[in-house]
Amino acid sequence: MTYKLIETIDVGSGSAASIEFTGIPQDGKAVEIKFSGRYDTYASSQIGINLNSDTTTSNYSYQLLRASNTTVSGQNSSNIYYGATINEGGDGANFFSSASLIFPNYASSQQKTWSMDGIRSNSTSAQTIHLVAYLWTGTSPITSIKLVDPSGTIAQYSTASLYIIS
Amino acid sequence: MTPPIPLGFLDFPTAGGSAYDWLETQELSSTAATISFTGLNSLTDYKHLQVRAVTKGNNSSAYNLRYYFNGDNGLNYHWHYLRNNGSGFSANQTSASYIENGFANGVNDFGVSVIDILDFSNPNRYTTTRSEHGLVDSIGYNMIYRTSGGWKNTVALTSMTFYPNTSSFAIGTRLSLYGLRG
Amino acid sequence: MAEPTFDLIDSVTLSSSASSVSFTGLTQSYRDLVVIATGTTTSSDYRGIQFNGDTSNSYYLVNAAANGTSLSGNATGNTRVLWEYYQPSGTGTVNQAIFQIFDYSTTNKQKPVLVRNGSLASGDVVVEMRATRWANTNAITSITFMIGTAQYNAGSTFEIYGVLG
Repeated sequence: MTYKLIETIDVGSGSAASIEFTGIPQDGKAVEIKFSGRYDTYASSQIGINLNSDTTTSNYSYQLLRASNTTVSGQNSSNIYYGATINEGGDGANFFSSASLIFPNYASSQQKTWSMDGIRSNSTSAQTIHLVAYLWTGTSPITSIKLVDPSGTIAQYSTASLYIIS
Repeated sequence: MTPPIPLGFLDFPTAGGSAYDWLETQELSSTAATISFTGLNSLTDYKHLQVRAVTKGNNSSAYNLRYYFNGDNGLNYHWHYLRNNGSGFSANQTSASYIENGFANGVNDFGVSVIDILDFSNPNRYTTTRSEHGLVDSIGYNMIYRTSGGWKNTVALTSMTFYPNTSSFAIGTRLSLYGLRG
Repeated sequence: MAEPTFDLIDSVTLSSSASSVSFTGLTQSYRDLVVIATGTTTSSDYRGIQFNGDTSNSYYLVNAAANGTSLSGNATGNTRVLWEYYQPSGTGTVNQAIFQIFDYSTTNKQKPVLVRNGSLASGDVVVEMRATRWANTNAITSITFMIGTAQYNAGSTFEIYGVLG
């Protein structure tokens, strides 16, 4: 069968600085990550990403389509900000985001492009929707994917599952 | 419709086997007011759920797909959308007695949705949904959406009930439920 | 009872550039198809997929795009399910698209498709979401990735997955 679970990371008590998948098997055609998370306290609806420990922001570029409450906007940048959508720390203990990241051709020697489709759920006016296309200029196969932001820690009960599509 | 019964020793183990399982499909051969998936609390092998929907309403005013959980149709839901009808973007959020995602179309063509419900059985979180959905109608009603939904309750999911905003579902409406291991 | 699904039906990785990539004789055993494609092209041009060799203007779409801070929407007909509506003008554009094709094997429904795609090049990037309807009730037996006058470069990948339902 084609769609295989490789690993699930559940954040336990005490929160986590990041969620990182390492040693990603190289026998697939695509990778999908299902992520649902919330910051402990940090007031941001996105968490950054880096591949293969590459933190050089100029190696990444993205295009974002966003709805923040009733405001729709677009943005592009060379940075690692919109790795995945995450609920803010102040959103309340039971609210968690939902995001899907799909990396086609992740094991190739070509530059890497992927998409992220995410939402921040809330019962107030502070809700967010992101659709992001990303480019990493690295040509190495992707062996690790890390969701991290130095300004915030990831709350307990956040979770991420990585699947290989082969 | 349910998938065929797996053949014992050919059944796939969790580790290394398929993580994406087809659980159930309901496809209408006659009109119906609602479609429900039940027994969700028995799906202990799965971390996430996904619904794939192909929907049509039974009159021209039926153009939204709605759903609620566990028979709760009280004012315990909120949803937020981003959409474009080909002329421009709009976004809004609403509190309601349902989540409104996807399309049931009046008389012409089917709307489609893919709805993710991640970590659906975790008692430490509210139920959150994320959907991509859209419709291109032969009478010119077009829309592409991204939508989030939330049910402000931490109890275990037992059921998910779908219905159109008015009238009933048309013949040919199809909802399929999938479980993702995690 | 559960049945495992999301199965690879066919895939192609180009070893040299090509003006089209075709998948024919598609199995009719599934309910939906998920198509994942990525790669680069020899020049900027309109790409997309056509079903059953249908090159007529029978693919109707609604598109939403963000290009930098510019937002746009379109609703129109076309001769293919577009890979992207907006074409970045930069060099070295890297593209990816995910197509969700519903009820592809039915013979009593027109075929709805959801697409999400991104195109990123130096100085010009776009992300899009799109719904398309192929105004034909025939079962889909072939999918052709085509492009106007340019070519798909070597290394471009095309995968078709079947989903039971």
